[in-house]
Amino acid sequence: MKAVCWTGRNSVEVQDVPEPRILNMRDAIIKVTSTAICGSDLHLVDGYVPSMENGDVLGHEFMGEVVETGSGVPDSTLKVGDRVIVPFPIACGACSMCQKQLFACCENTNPNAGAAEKLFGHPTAGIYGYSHLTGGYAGGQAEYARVALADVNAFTVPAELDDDQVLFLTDILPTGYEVGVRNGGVKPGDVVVVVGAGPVGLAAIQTAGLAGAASVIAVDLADSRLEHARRFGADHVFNGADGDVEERIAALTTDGLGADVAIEAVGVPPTFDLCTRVVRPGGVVANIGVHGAPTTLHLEELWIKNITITTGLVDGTTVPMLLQLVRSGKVAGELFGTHEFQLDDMMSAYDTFANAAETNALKVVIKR
Amino acid sequence: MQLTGTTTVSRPPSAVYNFWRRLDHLPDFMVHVDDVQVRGDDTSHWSVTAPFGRTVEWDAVVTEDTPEQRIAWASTEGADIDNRGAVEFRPAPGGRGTEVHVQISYEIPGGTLAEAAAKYFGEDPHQQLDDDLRRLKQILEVGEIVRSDGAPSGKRARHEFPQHPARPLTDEEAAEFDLEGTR
Repeated sequence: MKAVCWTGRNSVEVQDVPEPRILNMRDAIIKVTSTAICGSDLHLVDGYVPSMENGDVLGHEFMGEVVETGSGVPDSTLKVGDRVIVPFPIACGACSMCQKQLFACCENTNPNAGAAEKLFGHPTAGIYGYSHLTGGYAGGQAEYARVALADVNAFTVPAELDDDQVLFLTDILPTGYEVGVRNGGVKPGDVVVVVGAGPVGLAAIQTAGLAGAASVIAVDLADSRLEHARRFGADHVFNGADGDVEERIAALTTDGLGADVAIEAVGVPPTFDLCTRVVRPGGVVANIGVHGAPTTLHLEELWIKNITITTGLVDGTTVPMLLQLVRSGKVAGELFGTHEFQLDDMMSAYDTFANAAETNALKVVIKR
Repeated sequence: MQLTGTTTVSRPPSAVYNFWRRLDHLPDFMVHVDDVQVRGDDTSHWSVTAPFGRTVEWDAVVTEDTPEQRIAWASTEGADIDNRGAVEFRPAPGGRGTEVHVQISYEIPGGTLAEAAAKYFGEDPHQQLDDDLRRLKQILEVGEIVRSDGAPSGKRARHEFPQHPARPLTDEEAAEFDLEGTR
């Protein structure tokens, strides 16, 4: 079959590789019908994330049709012919972390947990197509993919919903909602600032309203992204380059004290710092960004501000709920896809996505 | 060489004890233990891969058996390597299953020099025991050792760095990793 393979730093190719097989009795094999490229895939391509090997199949946002199930998958949970979405953190469903619904911290699904523990201080869950530190699982940018422990990790999709509506439930929508809106504790009447209007920030903007936010303010450095933010429901948009962002945000909040919740959706020190300055006393900074460098936490200002900082990787536990909201039309999952390609033309898809400033791409979707 | 390791398994002490008490289950998750033949209630014969691929064997006897709490064993006279071990099963706080505490001690043939050499070639016994216990946890919680395309061989995963690429295996590779039956 064809698959997108990492072949070295800044080098990705569509290669012919063997079709996946059942490796554990609770596995399923799916025919991939739609898949997408994530911003974090670009960090694999450029070598920013260690422990990639020549030939690794990329992709952790994918969905498709079940073509085979292992002997440990009961028909009552999944059967051949089912259409499924596959959120990227692989959960076992049984360990103490999974019992607490902390699927991204699953203790059993990373065969290389010992190596991950050395680097991160704790073992992470297995993740598809995301280096060997997260388990060495082949990804979904391929014609077929193995879904590990499929009875827990594959969610069936109602026939009336198109791929485009549900594909983004595999990563960005639950990430924006769980790690941003839910961890931020957004409640009715809140003023919410979202710093970074990339796909994940837009997902936070889109779902903040569901939690009752009175107004949502988007901050980004690209005007094209701010236009997208408006489309996803931001009430106010500010370009961070304009300089007086903090004052303009304060002016939109009660007594000028700042936002109730500031959501960080970039992953660099200045944006995290901005969040701690635009949040009101007693507010919450919800970090979603994947940080690669240490950030100074200004405790000399924050020690008296009573703020809460949350962090996390998406668990995917809200996928069934978000699926209901897509079904009822409350969440327009199809808004994210801006470009479509075939698997053969994957290199154009990567180029289009990597040059979002020129192409104005949000998410590129690859169809079978 | 003294090794200690712990893990917490979301199963009651009785289940973890019962699994471990069948000593022929140990090769399922212990990377160096190739085979354990149970010969009587308390006696068994072990084959183990020592550093540099040597196979060593011994007879062992269960020296202590307190159901649902503790099992201890030791090699008998004439063993290739004198060794002993004990495992305790303690109820974990908050209803979180069982804490498993393992102690293993053995005489390395060749002494400290061999130990240092083994480490140099990537054999870290402490890390190996940690990984053994992760696999025990997987068997008891998931039902089997979790495999990926990069680490397809289950208990030998630690020996695979650099690993198989994270791409599906060919039929030949699957045969090599004992996965012929999985298709």
